[in-house]
Amino acid sequence: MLVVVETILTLRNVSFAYGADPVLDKVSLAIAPATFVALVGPNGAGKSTVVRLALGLLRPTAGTVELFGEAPTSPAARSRLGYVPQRPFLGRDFPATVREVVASGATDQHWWRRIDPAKVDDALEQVDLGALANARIGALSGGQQQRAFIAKALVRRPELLVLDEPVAGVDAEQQERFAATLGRLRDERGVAVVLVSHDLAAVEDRLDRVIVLRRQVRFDGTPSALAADGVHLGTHGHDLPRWLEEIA
Amino acid sequence: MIESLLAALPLPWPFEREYLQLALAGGVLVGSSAPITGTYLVQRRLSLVGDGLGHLAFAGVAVGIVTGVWPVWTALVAAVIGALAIERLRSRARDHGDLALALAFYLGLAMASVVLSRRGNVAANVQGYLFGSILTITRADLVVLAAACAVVAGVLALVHRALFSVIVDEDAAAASGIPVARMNDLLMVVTAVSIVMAMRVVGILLVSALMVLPVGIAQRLATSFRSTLALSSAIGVIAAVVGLVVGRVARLAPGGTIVLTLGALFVVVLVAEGPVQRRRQRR
Repeated sequence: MLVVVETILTLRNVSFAYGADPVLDKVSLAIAPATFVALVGPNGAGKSTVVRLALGLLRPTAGTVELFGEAPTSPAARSRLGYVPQRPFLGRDFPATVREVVASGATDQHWWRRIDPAKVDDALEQVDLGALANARIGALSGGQQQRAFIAKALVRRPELLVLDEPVAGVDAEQQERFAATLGRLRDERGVAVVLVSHDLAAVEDRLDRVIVLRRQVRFDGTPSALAADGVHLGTHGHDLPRWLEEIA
Repeated sequence: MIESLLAALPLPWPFEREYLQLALAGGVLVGSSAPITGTYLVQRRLSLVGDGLGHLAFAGVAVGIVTGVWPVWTALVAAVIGALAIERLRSRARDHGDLALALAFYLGLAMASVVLSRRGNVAANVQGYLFGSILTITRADLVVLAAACAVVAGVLALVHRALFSVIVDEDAAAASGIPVARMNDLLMVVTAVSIVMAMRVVGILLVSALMVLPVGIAQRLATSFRSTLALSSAIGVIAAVVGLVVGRVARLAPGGTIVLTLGALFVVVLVAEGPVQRRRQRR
């Protein structure tokens, strides 16, 4: 019997260069629905470039990127994607409530359309920020702001959530809450999660797959398979650079 | 409509004369609309862009004075072209946004200086544009001001959600399909229009203050973006009225007095902020 595995994000032989500097070289990967995938690698490995290609913010110099079977710039594909940016932080003086920031995630190319407040409430509840909906965003801690940005990405009820280094500078307790939120989204809502991070200790037990990138895909498998190679994600900060040197 | 409203209102001292009523109407219009544009600019960390555009508008004023065209129109053309050029430079070299502004400052003044040198003594004509001439606003000026302020407020209301998304996170907004570059261009054009309108009230040299200072005050008091928009607009109106009254009583230049009123309000809020925050934290 033929089993067709649906993919929601596919990169086929994708290469990318900033001018004369090659960043990605024939990268191929596919993300299936309801999976929790970590994209790791040292600085300059091309992780954020993969994210920006998936978001349609960059075009590959070679190869193809498909988001839900379409070009990443397609409005239909974009409406099914949620994005949490690198180190999201709004300063203390930023004059907006948590609700306003979260609601802004529902704005798309039809920005004049009314935003459904029930969707905003639901997104806030998903990240346990309902009680702080009317608080000023700048008054929140780094961890709380990070959850607000996840809620902002969730307000459109995405099928794929992409998070680019979202836990930098967040304490251990907030990281654990963050990991629990992502695991719940996959388990209860079938959301596929692609997490780019240097620190995977909090999400290690919940991951389905790890992709190690260093210009090319160096590893694509389960965390246990990576551990069998002597690379433990909990201490990933120490193990991975050494391991990447070995496989280079 | 504004004219008939003014005619119907027997305003008491210090606005009992027609030219003062026209100044009051102009001040209220610009005082209410300039901070709305300023709210978006300040959150985009573009507080000084108004000054850059003001200098370019001054080059336009110079062209108007020399060619005999109403300087408001030539200032508007110069400011809009300059706004789009600054945005292009800023978006191409993100780390050198200040360089784009520096270019606007220097080129604006240099062009004005060169163009005005073609004409003899124009100090009197120029002074009104540099320091404002709110007391010389005519009924025709007021109609243009009202129309421009309505357009600025209308456009910003129409694109508020998209602009707010861009302010919160430009990449996420682009990934959502919002035309970020076009929104940035639009904000700059709206800023150019606001600058040229505010030029009549406080002058090119102080034009940015009317856009930025009310926002600096409002964002310390308001909790939401919408309340910041409303409060900054109200503060702009209060400053315009207080500035005109104090200016008349103390025989001071009204443009500068409006900006000094804003400066005084800013200091008061800044000083009061500490104890208020400490009380909130104790609760």
